[in-house]
Amino acid sequence: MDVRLPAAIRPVLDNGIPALMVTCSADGIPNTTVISQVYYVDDTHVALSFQFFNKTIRNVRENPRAHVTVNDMPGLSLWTLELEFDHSETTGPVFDAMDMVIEAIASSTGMSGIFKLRAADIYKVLSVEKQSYRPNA
Amino acid sequence: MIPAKIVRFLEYANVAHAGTRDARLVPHGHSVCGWILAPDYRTLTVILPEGAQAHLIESLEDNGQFAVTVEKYPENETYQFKGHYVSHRPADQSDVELVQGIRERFIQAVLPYAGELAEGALRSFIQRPAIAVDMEVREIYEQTPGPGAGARVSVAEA
Repeated sequence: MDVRLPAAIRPVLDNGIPALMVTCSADGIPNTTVISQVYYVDDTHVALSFQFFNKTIRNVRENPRAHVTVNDMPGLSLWTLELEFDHSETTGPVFDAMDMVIEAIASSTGMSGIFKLRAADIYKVLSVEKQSYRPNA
Repeated sequence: MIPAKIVRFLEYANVAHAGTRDARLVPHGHSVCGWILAPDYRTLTVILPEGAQAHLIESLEDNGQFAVTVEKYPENETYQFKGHYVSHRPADQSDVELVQGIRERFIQAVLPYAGELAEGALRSFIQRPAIAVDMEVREIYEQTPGPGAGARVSVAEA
């Protein structure tokens, strides 16, 4: 049975707070990285940006599993997503929408011409879980 | 030995996240609330909150692989530390005090950009410590966003 993203996660994906991604190479070395955008594709898929041919991109092409954490600071919670890489898209509505956001982020951070979307990597959602922070004094 | 530039970075960085993988090569992410470098400049103690412990020790004891990304926000100066699990213990009072210092650094750095986020939300983001994991750092990678990200930083032998 497909795992479906709850509606409550959509504003969290759009909140602009960087997300954290963990992948693992075929020879078993984990890799952690900060990602700027987790794009909602449909209720069973998300897209992540492929900007540079880095370790994360190499890893998911060797071993498709990925773990992503998105933070909902105002909601005092975080969401963890277990994902599986499905395919890449270099044209189409998902690519165009992500490209626009990447360009806006690049422009606002002085990184125009450095951040460039090469592909929208589409992942199937295998699990989704919400965890609440324990409030600190 | 971790280079002096990275030693200094660890003292002013303000947020971190860790990764492990299990026996089936499934990656797992873990929130991190603190870190401190041991006097040998090779062992990094990574402090994690209670909610970060799913798959953590089980994965570390299976294969020892541990990766930690540490960042200085808002400049986005970022390094990833890769290495091998050495040991773990429950967090103690010194960890609580260390995490409190990192929490204050994080709040001071983020509050000017936080918009409607209340200080309480930022304070809760760096959670209370529950467990401390020692790792032997074997590799460090530059991860500041941009085309230089991914470059290996030299870690000299002692």
